[in-house]
Amino acid sequence: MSVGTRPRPTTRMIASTADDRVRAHQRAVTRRSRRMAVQHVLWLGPALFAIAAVVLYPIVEMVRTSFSDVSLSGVIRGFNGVDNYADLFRRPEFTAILGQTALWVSTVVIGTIALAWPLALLLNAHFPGRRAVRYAVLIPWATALSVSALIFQWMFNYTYGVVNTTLIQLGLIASPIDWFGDSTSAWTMLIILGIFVSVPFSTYIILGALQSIPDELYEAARLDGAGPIRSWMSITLPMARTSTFLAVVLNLIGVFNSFALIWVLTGGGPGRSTQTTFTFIYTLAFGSQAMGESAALSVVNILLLGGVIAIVLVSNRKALEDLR
Amino acid sequence: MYRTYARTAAILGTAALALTGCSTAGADSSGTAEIDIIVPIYSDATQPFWEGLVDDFESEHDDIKVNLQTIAFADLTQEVNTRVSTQQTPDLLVYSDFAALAADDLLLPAEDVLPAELLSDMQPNLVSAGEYDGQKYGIPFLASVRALFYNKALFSAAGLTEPPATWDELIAAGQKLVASGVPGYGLAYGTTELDADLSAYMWNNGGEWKDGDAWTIDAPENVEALSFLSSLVNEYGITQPGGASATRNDVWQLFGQGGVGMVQGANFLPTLLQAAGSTVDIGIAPMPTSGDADPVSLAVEDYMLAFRSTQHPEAVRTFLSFVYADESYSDLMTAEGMLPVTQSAQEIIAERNPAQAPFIDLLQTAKFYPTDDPTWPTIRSEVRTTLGAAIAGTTSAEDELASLQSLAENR
Amino acid sequence: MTSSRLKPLLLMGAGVVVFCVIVLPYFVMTMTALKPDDEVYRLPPSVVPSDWSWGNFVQVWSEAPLATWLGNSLVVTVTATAITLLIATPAAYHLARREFRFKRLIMIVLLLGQMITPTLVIIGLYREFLALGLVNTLTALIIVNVAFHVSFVVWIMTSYFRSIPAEVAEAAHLDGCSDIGALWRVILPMAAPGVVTAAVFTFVSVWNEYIVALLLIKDRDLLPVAVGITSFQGQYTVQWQFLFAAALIAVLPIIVMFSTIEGRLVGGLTAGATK
Repeated sequence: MSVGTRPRPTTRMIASTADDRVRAHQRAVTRRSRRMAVQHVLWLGPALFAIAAVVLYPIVEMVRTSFSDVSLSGVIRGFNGVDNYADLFRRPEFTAILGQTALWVSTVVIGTIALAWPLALLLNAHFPGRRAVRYAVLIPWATALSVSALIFQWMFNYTYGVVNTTLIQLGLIASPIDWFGDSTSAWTMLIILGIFVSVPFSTYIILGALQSIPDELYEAARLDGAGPIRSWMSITLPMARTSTFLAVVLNLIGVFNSFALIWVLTGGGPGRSTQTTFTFIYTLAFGSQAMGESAALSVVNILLLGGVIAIVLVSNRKALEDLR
Repeated sequence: MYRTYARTAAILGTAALALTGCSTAGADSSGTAEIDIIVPIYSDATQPFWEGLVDDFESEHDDIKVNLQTIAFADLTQEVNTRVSTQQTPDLLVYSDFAALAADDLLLPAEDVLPAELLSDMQPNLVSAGEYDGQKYGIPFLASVRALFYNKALFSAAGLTEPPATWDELIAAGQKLVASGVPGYGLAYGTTELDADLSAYMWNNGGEWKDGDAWTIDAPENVEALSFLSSLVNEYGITQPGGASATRNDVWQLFGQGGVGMVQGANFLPTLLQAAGSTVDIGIAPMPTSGDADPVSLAVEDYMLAFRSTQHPEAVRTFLSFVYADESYSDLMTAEGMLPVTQSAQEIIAERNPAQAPFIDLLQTAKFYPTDDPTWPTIRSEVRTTLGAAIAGTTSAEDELASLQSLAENR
Repeated sequence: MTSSRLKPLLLMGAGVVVFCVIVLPYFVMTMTALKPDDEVYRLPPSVVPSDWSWGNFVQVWSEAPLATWLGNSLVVTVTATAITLLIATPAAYHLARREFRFKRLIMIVLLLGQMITPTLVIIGLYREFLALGLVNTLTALIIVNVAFHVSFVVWIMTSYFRSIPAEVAEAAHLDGCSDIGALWRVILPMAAPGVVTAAVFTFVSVWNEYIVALLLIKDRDLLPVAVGITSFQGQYTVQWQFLFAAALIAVLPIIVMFSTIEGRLVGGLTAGATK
């Protein structure tokens, strides 16, 4: 063979080179995906582990209990299939409680967002004393819900409450109002107070988004002749879409799982008219000595909440994509 | 391969050793017995008193350590149930709902943890109220008794000289009080302790919760009693306004401020009212009866429960003897405003505080809730939730008691 | 009056109304906390105490180990918040930047973590920490609070990170930063307000956490303040003046914290969730 001549590529050589290239490519991909996998573990691992270890295991336990026969004192005595679920669904008050939960969640979430928006707009505007109002809005959020609930209980007490006393002194009512005495007024009060304690959190979430919208956009809109409502709809709303969505979902979860407010103010009463699925979980376990049914309701509660969130997510495709 | 087996065996062996050598809570590794006791918070005297008691006990017995846990009443059931479910029951627990625990064979009977003299010193009807399945699982610890409280000043202002002894007299007295400008009878029928009200009236009409093992909640005497309560609100209008969302505390405080003429009170009520600055001159009488039978008083008992899971029955016994020692036990009862269960302590209390003497008398013949039935807590919870509607008149007394009856039978 | 002069006045009027409505309950709480024993249940009820009983605070402080409780709360809250941020921030950054197969599943796990509250799973939690031998320790409280707050922080921070343009991270890489380096040195300072926000949300939530502490802590000296103040509720009566005095003491640290970072808090919500 003479020096300097390259062997001409034969078919066999071409084929093997192609194989090599494919194999090399595959090895590179595997290396990359293994590196990616390591990346996933490093970055996400601790967070996911924390949740899996501490949150998921007890869920397994809860599901197990929901299929167990639990004695009146709490001794777990083996499995009883779906009896707990059957007993739960057979309870005459169950449907009513589902309806009450739907009422509670929908009114408070909608009411909260409806009030949080104008409040966020207010706190975003400039006026003397804005700082004081911003501070004030933080107070209900900083205070534990159970404490706020106790304050409300005391304020709306029939005989001793400041509300009745003041209204009578002002001559607005002749005799004290029994704010929580019947289910209609009890629900009205619960919803109003539920909105009261939820608004600060949502307001601040929306306010954050508002603060980031540059003033130039509004300037430009004004120059184009847009009025305040038009600006709100075409500038403010779209830019705050994700944060509103976040506020809605977080609110939804918080209200669904809300216990202290209802429990302290009405205990689920009068009768069972202000019970929600969440408060009923507690009542079943520690009032009716039905811990198995209580666990079953816990499972149902999570499924319900998951379902509602899924609906909210799906119906807000765009916001969902932003969040992903 | 053999190395792997050897290694596995070594690991398993070490693990086994570790597990067997593992000390469980309260084991006598150093010769100190540890016992856990859970006490609910009755008042702000509970914590300091028990802390002092435990300190005194430990200084006298340096081989026993007592771990005291106090907990708010609102959280007590949750705590007990959680511990039972996870098999982490304490050695001792002060609690009223002992029957379900006894039914699951979780408790030790009194004879196992109390010296015989102490047990025989306890008031007999209190001891028998704590029996389940013939065994004394519910060891009496403290008791309270209910009676009719009336405001002497308001009574004389309304032209009344005697507290009412019958239902008719109750109505008449109430009407006179209303005429003189103040509600006659304080009745709270929100979600509150309505089992106490119902018991007081049904027993004084000849009704019962149970007859032997059978529930008799829907008996006609009970329906009459419930209807009577409802009539006080609706027909005769002698109760205070706002009762539908009122709690026991609201009505008691109202009484303490002179806002209502009569109320079903308890022996610890005067202490509570004094703390809130009340200056009412209180009169005490048995609850009125419907006919001319002797009046029946309601007594409520909280029990000291000893769990079978205890690792140190002897230490428990020693501690309990200390707890029930006359002087310190009487001090505790005085601080909490409760009635002691031992006859010797009762004598001490009657001497120290003559105002408690009539209550101690009532206690001797008082009746108790059916706490010896494991399902009583469920029924009690249902009563507290739903009886208010029957008193308000939105449901009928028959329907209410019928549904309670079926709940009791099906539980 | 021109409309531009009227507007701030109107807004201020609205602000005053909002202020009064929101502060009212807490004003009532403070007034009640300052009432003497015999005035709380007096009829007719008074709005303002006739005898300003600052001694109530002293009494509450001496009757209950509030200092210890506040200390416990501080330890648990600060540690839990710090750890939560430490493990949630990288996770959020990673989720914000990358697309990968299991991402949807992970978002669902995170959502699930958000939806579960401790109340639903107390038996399982207790069993778990019993097995770990951590019942009745502050460590257990820290761990549980971290686990139940991680989802929330990841959610919030993912939003913030998405709003930072990818070019920033690329520029950092070009300068020779590793991923972590880029995160720590370049991105985080830009998202610092977002971090502050997440920290504050977590802090408040952990400070007021009640159920888990009630479940896992037996020793009175280990209680956080949220549980401790319930010991002012007796069997039949509530001594409102002491309960509220204790509650005021319990909320004070949070108010103090808020006032120091309030500017950053609002500014912080600037950085994200704007798309």
